Amino acid sequence: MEANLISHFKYKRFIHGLAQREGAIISHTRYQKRLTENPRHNLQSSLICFGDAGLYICMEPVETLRQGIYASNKTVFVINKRDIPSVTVTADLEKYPSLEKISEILKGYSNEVYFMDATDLSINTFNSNQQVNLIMLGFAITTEKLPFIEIEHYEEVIKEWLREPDSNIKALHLGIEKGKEIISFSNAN
Amino acid sequence: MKFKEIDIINIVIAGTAGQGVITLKRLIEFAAQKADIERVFGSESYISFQV
Repeated sequence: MEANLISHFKYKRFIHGLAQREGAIISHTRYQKRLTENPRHNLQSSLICFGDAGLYICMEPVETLRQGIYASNKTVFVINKRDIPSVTVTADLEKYPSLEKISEILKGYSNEVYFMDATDLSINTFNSNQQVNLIMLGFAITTEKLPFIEIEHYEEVIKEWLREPDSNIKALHLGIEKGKEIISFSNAN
Repeated sequence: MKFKEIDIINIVIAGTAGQGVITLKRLIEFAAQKADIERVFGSESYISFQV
């Protein structure tokens, strides 16, 4: 019985080491500044309920759609424009949708869908695409959906934990600056 | 939108392998701890494609 059960599952070795995990990566981050006396009103799980995400930070446009189940009309999307086609696209099994189509689908959830070419910005500024995630963090901060954490807190963590802290802090501020431009331009139209 | 201190903040970070998704997740979590936030939770997962 047990062997029969096992044979129905595909076991894969868990590969630690981030980039080596391959495929689509998803993470949920949740926090609550102050706990209440009623535990039922407090954060109890590390997984977001369907339709409960306040903010999406997406490094790749199609990955936003792949994880769309957590979005609702209160969600803000910040998306890096640069596509990285998955193996199903490169193997010609699926077609990569246009950015317009992705935007149209996401606007079915929420009006707050913002795109930035963070990869391009990173390559032009730092001659590398290693700073894309920090640029995207800066972009996300400008949406004001990451409350109670100040920029100084991010800077402290960057100095403590990341290699090349100066360029990463510069990337964070670059993301904030460009993010403000994109959001104010989008709100003006 | 103004958040209350008892509100739960939910963030989804998505991308492909090697784009710094987990680094970003941990960076936000560590910064939240520095900001004296009482509870911070997170999860990480991946989908591998098989053609």
